[in-house]
Amino acid sequence: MVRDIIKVRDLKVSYGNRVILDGVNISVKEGEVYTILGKSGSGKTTLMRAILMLEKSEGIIDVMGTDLNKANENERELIKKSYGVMFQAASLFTSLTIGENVAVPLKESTNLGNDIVFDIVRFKLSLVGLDDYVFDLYPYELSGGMRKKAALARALVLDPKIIFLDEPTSGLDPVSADDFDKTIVELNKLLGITVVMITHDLDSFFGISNKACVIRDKKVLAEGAPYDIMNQDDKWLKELFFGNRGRKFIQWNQK
Amino acid sequence: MRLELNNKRIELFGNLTYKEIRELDRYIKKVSFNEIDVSGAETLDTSFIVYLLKTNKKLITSERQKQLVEIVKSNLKNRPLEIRKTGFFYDVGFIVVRKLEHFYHFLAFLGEIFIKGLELLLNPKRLRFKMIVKDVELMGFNAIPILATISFLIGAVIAYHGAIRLKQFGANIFVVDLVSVSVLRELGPLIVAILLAGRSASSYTTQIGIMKVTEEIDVIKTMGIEPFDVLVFPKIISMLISVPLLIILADVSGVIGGMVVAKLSLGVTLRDFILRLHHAIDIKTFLAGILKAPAFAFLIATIGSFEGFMTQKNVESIGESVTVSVVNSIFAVIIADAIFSVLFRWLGI
Repeated sequence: MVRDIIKVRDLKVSYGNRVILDGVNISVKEGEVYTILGKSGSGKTTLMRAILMLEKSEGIIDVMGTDLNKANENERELIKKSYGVMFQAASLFTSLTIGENVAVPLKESTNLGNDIVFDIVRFKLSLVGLDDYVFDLYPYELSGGMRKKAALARALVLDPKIIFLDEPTSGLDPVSADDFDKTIVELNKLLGITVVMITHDLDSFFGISNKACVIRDKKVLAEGAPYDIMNQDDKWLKELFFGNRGRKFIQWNQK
Repeated sequence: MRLELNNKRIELFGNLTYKEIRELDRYIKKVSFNEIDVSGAETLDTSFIVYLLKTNKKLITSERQKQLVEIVKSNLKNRPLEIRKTGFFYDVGFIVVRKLEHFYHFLAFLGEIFIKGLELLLNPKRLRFKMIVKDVELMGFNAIPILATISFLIGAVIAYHGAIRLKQFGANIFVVDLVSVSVLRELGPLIVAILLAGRSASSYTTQIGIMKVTEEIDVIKTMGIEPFDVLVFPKIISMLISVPLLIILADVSGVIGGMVVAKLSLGVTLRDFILRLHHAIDIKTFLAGILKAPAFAFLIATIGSFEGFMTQKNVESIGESVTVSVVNSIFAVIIADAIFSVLFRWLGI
């Protein structure tokens, strides 16, 4: 029996009077690729931010046996160290080179010499498929896809237990997106990292995730394997999977 | 992490992660060994494996760990990283060249303003009146309280310092000359210019700099709008309007400051003060101050927007640009003031 690495129970998040999430329950098992699905503005990112402790919330968020809303600062710090996060806009530090960007977490939590830090950074860059020459470049000198990969390398640098990806393939061309998906699966298999991601990309959804949940009207509409989600009776989901784009996707896959 | 050394073989147990690398690094330098055995470790992370592989010693792993080590090995680069290092003279030369380049770009910017200004004069409809009015409110009108306070205090302080000396000679009434001439000719315009260099030049630079970082300027260009029409000319014109008006305000409030101190510490009545004012200053004194206004206004607006356009596409660069813009515009204003002083002397104003 694989344990739940993240367990969210009765989560409530509100901004002032506006309730974003109310009574959300999800369970993520260790080693899963878990997808959060939902309309724009449904609160997917808010759910992720609550788990990342960036948003105040009520309810239970249990990560590796620690309830984040009851834990003290030290315990929360410890959990944060086991996270790797990649935001939607990659959010690299624009005034640092790619190498320095990836080295930031390492330099913050250890006092290793530059040689070994650079070796580790180069290894991580190569792991996500970036060549050595990007090491000395600044983020604005890279393409969107490379920036995302660099952000992924930064998220991976401390060998996190869980990585959170906010729309990792948005804004990438299909080939790069496939490439990115492949990288994520590899990391998941090779390093046993649990992946939690938000995506609208049906390829990623069916291709790499083994479990998913749908956020709808402040609640979790359904949770389960991707194909079970597809058969849910919900207007938005029907439109997503059987609307113009979705139908083409399914036809193509059957060919 | 636990270490054991048997027959030139280091055995490692426990959690082997990035946190333990330093400890192992220290240990390794003290002992001689041929092999490292990590098969007894509980956890092993990739950073640690990178370090182990870099030691170039034989590595003994369990079957389970082998896979992970293989991944690291296949991604590890053996070629040394090429990072450009520069010497002292290179750096000095680089900075000098960059400053010269910066100045060259500024001259180019002035040229652009001139050409595009001519185009604008032929096409006055392109002028953005709303933006100008808005900018006059933000940069001119909103600066009134702070400016009035500062110049009042400056006028008062000058009168106060003069008062001590003038009393000794019984020349109390000349405090009027002292305050009015210095405020009207020099201090009023200079205070306005320095205040606006800090207040407006910085905000112009930030606005344009951030627009450049977020590629909003490129958006403006693709819409077929001339960026200078929206970002530079309204600022120049609004400064040309605000600076003279603010100088008049600074003059008046500085003289009032002097007047109050004259009354309180020298016993010069308001009536005497104003009567003396007619002798102390004439229209020339006022003109000598206000004539500097267009030059100051132009310098502040152009340097502020120029530094904005020079911002690189990263966040740190915005901060740098703002610093440079404030420092340069204050510097330019003071240089211009010195030139005006010499010029007015020649002209006999």
